[in-house]
Parts: sequence; C-alpha cells; structure tokens
Amino acid sequence: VTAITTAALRRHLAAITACGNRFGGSEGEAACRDHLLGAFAAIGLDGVAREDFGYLGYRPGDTHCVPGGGGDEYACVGLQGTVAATVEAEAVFVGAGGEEDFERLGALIKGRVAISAAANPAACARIAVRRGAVALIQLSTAPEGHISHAVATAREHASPRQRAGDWLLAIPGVSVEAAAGKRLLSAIAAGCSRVRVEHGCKYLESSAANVVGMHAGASERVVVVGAHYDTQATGPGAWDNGSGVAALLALAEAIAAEPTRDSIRFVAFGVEEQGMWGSMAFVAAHSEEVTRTTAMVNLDTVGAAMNGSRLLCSSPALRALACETAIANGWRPDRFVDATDMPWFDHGSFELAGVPVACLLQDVPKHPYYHTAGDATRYLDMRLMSSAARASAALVGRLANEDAAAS
Amino acid sequence: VTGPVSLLDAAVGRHLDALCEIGNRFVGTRGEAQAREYVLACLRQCGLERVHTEPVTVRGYAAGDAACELPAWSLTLAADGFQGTAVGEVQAEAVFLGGGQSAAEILAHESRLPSLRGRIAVFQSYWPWEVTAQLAERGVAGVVLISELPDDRIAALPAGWYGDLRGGEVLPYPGVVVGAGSARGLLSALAAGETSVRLRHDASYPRVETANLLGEVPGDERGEHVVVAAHYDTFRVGDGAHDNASGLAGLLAFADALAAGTVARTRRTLQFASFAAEELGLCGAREYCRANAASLSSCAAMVNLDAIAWQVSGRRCLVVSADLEEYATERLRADGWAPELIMDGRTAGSDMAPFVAAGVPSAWCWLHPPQHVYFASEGDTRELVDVKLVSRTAEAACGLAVALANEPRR
Repeated sequence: VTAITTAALRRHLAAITACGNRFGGSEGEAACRDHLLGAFAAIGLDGVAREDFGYLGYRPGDTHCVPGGGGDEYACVGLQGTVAATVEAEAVFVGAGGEEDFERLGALIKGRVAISAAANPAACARIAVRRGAVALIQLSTAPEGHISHAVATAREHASPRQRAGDWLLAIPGVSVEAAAGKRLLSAIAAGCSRVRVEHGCKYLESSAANVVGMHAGASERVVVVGAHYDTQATGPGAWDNGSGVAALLALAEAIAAEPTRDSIRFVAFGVEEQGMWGSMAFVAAHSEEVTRTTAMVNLDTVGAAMNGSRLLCSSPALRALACETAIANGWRPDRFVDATDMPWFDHGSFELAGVPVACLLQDVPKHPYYHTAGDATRYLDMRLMSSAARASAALVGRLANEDAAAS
Repeated sequence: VTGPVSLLDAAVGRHLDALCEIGNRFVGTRGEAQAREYVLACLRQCGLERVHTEPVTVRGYAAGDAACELPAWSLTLAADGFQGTAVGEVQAEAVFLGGGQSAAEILAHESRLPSLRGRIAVFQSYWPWEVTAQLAERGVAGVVLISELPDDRIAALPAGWYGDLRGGEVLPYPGVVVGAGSARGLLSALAAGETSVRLRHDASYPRVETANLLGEVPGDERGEHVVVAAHYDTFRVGDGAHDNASGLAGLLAFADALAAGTVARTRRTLQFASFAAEELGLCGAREYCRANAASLSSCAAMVNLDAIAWQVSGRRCLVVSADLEEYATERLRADGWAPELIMDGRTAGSDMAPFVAAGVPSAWCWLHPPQHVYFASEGDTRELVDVKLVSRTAEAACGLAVALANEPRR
C-alpha cells in the first residue's frame, strides 16, 4: 500500500491526460487505450488484452436553442440520449424535476418544452416524457461559460442487447449554459415562453474496448478492480476519470509485486459516460469468471481538491470490511450508501450481476468544472487521491487474501 | 515563487488556525474584537513601530425575521434578510432578471421585461451589490436574491455599501436572500405565470465602533511608504477561512518574516494595515483614505491580500490599477507567479478600491476563479483552505510589495 505514492499517481495522471479528451470514438480514447495496454504489460500483468465491444455512440451535430420570437441564441450542447429533432413550443420550468415539481404544474407540461435544473437529468427526463413534454432543456450550472454535458437516459436503458430505438428518449434535448439559462428563465417569466430546440446528432453503432489484465493467484477466486478511462465530450477529464485510472495503475504496480491467494482482475473500462457500456460488456463476456468473482472495487472520480465528504458506496456484504480497512488506512468514511441506490457507476454492472461491490467516493459539494473542458489536473489534490487509492488497495489486498473478507 | 519574500507554511498555518478558531468576525461581534486583539498582538510581537488603531464608525446589521412566500402555490421559501435593504413587508408581481456578476449582465435583458417599477426584482449573483443601486433607481418594490451556492445554502451577502455612515445608505426597498434549490420552485411558478410574491425583512442597523489596525516597518529612507493590507472582518456567518483569514494569515506571516530578518529592510516604509468592516462596503479602507488623505500622496503603492486562496488551485489573478499593470505583471512573472488573468482595479470589490480612486497604484493577487463553492456562508471553513496555496500567493503579493518599496521613484 505504501508503494502508492503521489509521485506515481502524478506520473500516471500526466500520461492519461496527455491523451487529451477521451470521449467514446475520439482519438484520445484510442491513444489512452494503447497507453493502458502498454502500462498493464509493463507492470507485468498476465493476459493483457483489449476486449472489444459494441455500443451506440453519441456523435454531436449542429445544435441550437433559440427564443421563439427570435433574438440571441442560448448557448448549448446536445443532451445525450435524446433524439435528433427540432421542436418549437411554449416552455415551462420544472425546477428540480421531481414528481412533485411536475405535479404542481399539472396540465402545463403536455405539449411543452420542459426546462429543468435536475441533479439527475435521466430521472427528470423519464417523468417529462411520461407527462407529455415535447423537448427537454437541462440547465448547466458550470461557471465561466462552460457547459456541463449530461445524459438523459437511465442506466437500465443502456443495454447492448437493446436496439437504438428502445434506448433513446423519444424527444430532443439540449444542455444550456448557466448564464443563458438564467436569461431563458427570465424571458419565460416575462411571457416570452416559446423556445425552439434543435438537437443535431447521430447515434452510431460503434466499437470500443476494455483493457484487461490479471494478477494470477493460487485459488479459483477473483477480485475485480476497475476504473473507466473514457471522458465526457469535452476536456481532459483529469478528475473524471483520469484520477481513477491513475489510481488503478498505481494500485496494480503495488499489488503486482506480491503474490496473492486469489487472482486480481484489472479492468480499464471503455465508454462509461455514455451508459456504462464497458462494464456491462465485461460482465456479459466473462459470465463464468463472474461466478468466481467475490468482489469488485471501483475507482471513479477520486481526489478533487475539495474535501467534501467521504462516501463509502458498497453492497451490504462488503460494508463492514470496507469501512474497517478504509479507516485503518487513513480514509474514514463520513457517510454510507447502498450501491443499489447509486447504480450509475461501473460497479453497478457488477452489483446487478450479484457481485458485492465497493467504491470509495469523494462526495464534493460541487465540482465547478464537472463534465466540462475545465476538468484539469490543477484542480486535483494528490494527497486526497493517494489516500483513497491506498485505502482501496488495502481493501483489494484483504479481499484477495483473507477468508473472512468475502463470502 | 522565487521573489524576495519567502514565508513559512507553519507560520501561515498557525495564523490561519488562530483566526478560524476565533470563528465568525462580523462587525460588532465578540469574534471581531478578538481578531482585533490577535492582530495587534502579532504586530507588536513582530516589533513593528507605531502599532496603533484608527477609529471607524459604521452602520452594522442585526438580523431579524425574513420570509419569502408565493401565496398562489402555498410555497414558503427558507429566507434570510438581505442585509443593507430596508426593513419592511411587500407583496407584488415578481420579475426574474436572470443573473450575472455585474450590473450590465444582470440588467442586459431588461428591455424585454415588464417595467421594474413597483415590482419585486428576482436575480442570482455572487456580487449583488453591483446592481442593487440601479434597482433602487428603477423603483423596485422589493428584491429576492437567489444564492449561487450548492446544497440550497443561503449566502450572507450584503446588498450594498450601506455600512459607511458618510457615503453608504440602506437601500429603500426590503429584500431577502433564498437558496438556489428552493428558488427553483419560485422560478417554476414565475415561468408558469404565477408572479405574486410576498416578502418580509426585519432587522436593525445599529451604530458600531470599530477600528483599523496599523503598524510600520520603517524604511531606510523616510518619506514614502507602501501599504500592505488585509481586512480582518468576515461576512455575517462562517469562520471566513478563505475570506479573509487567508489574506490576513499571509500578512501576519510576512510580518513574522520581517521580524526574523528573512526579508531585507526596504527603502520605503512598509505600512501594515488590517482594515475593519470590509464586508459592509470597504468601510475601514475608505475611512483610512479619508482620514489620511494628506499622506496618501506619499503612499507609493498599495498591495491588497483578500481571499487569496482556498483549496482549489484557481487561476493566478492580478487585480491592478492601470498605472501599475505593466510593472506588477512583469515583477510577478519574474518571481514565478505569472498572472493568468488580469482585472481592472477600478472595479475591485475589495479594500484596494478607495486607494485606486485616490490615485494610489494598487494591486491584489489571488487565485480566482473558480469562486469558493461556499462563498459568504458557514461553509467557508478552515478545512477547505490549503496552507501551501495561501503561502505561495501571499509570497507573490508581499514580494511585489517589497519590490515596490525598493523601486526607485517611478
């Protein structure tokens, strides 16, 4: 565990962010995949390979949000998971986008554009469609002109086995920049409530890959450690999820040096941001191995330079062990959450397959540059990152070596 | 940072801890008095000369009840008083202006909105005082400020520079501040055509006696001086770890460094100033410039340390008067703190503003943006401040002050 140094994390992070943006389908994604294949091999993992899988890739197109009566456009990007279409209608603001918010507006939703400031756009989108909204506008809160990319489809829709038509939300949507969003609400409150949403995009049958490697143990049992290496559509993704991949590599270096009783499976997942395609593909492709898998530890968004609270997200079966191990390694959880309540991470795919999971999350109040071009290394704290990485490594070590650890 | 000043992280951390331990330091509170004593003791301990106070009398603020309701939807929002607005109650049609960080941004779309006269203006901003006076000119009946903070927190922001008894005034309309989360319900109603809003603000504005804190490290040549300043008060709530224990800790660690002899004696005198009541409208700095108007002509420069750093390594931002921009930029670059963002010192919402207005070349170094996530709230805690970032920023600022104090007359 002590082999995980901030210098190692910094070195890995620099190599990952140097690939640039790593959105599914980008050059940076391919470059990072190649880098990870080399890094896994250099660490000395067995069976290092890329495992290709198919997914439905979002390709942005010409997208606009325009006041109905003309005037300055509202700066926006496409809301991923919504169809490409143009709609003009009266708009209403559904606030946080919960059921009660819609209830209050009653009949005003049907046939209208629903504007939301929802923390969970997918949940809001589902209600909006059910209540007859014809388009969605998600308000970004990112500062300085950045626009936070969002996805409006819930994870249960993102199954590789489903066809595009089943998966996409049937109405178009956009994410609007914060200042423009305020202007939009101001116009609507003043009675200028028509707005045109033009979402241009393509959803292409695409191919991506997980990068896998194994640290072979003596037993049949397997412990999985993973981190997604793709990013959202803009930015170097230093926090999301360069930090997790850097932690994965540092953890692999530390663990590969020593024999373990159980095997440890290392996976860098592809295309998490567009619906956890990589982790679902891994679980599907390794169904036999999954039956021998005793636990999965996920590394996602660690080390933002904001203390926030330390949130231990886990299956009930792993909570006590994860908590005890984390505390012993200097990472004291502030809160606990059941993994089934936070399924929108790669560990969710394993949890669905019946594998106990754990993820040491740093629940920051608000990362200002989340899912934007501003998600840069300078906003990370290597100390916090190494603390989460070390605690995760210690947990993996115990899971792979101790009898009582996982059943 | 490779300039003439190097500070000990331990010293900066010690001052930061001590100030945060005092807790809230809003004008007129016990914490403010304790901070005053702490700063004076530090300045004396460092052997500064002419350590003294200069009185500042301000209009304080004592919060009472506040309410914000939307009768048609039976919606009651958690609200705080908008300090600096009138006490009173009003029910009127509300207009959502949108938001922004300047009057121009906030009022940009006014022409497309109903007249603000007799209506309640609703807007969102970190810096509401930029627009509140214009809203008074428009004849608004009231104001609802929506906080920018996460978790539905309500920022304790003032509406204007009412604290200054000789220049400031309480705004003629009542106002309240609400959280961004609960404001969604309000905005949802406004967008649906339900615009009648009722608000109530109860508070009092007691007269408060406070003081600026001053001391000097004399220069080799008497005559001119450079002011290095950090305000010691906070907003109404919170420990003000970032705003402004960070700047003040940097200033006090600079005094420590001078006392320890790790910074060479300068040609001009360095005047240390910890100003009072900045958060009520730069009251201490204004009073200083007024009371010392005669000697300002011998003030070669002013360097300001305000909210210099927190936990996130923001952009190196230099706020500077035009007459100092070139020099300060070059100097800071040479010292390893190349500014990434330069802002106009004339519009600074900090203690340098009255100095700039008086013609004193002035500069302020801080890491910004991003804005502190919990700006002006109880979330501005010691835990969210990184001592190293504070030290390096303070070194750049104090190094600039030393360079200015040694510079031949420009």
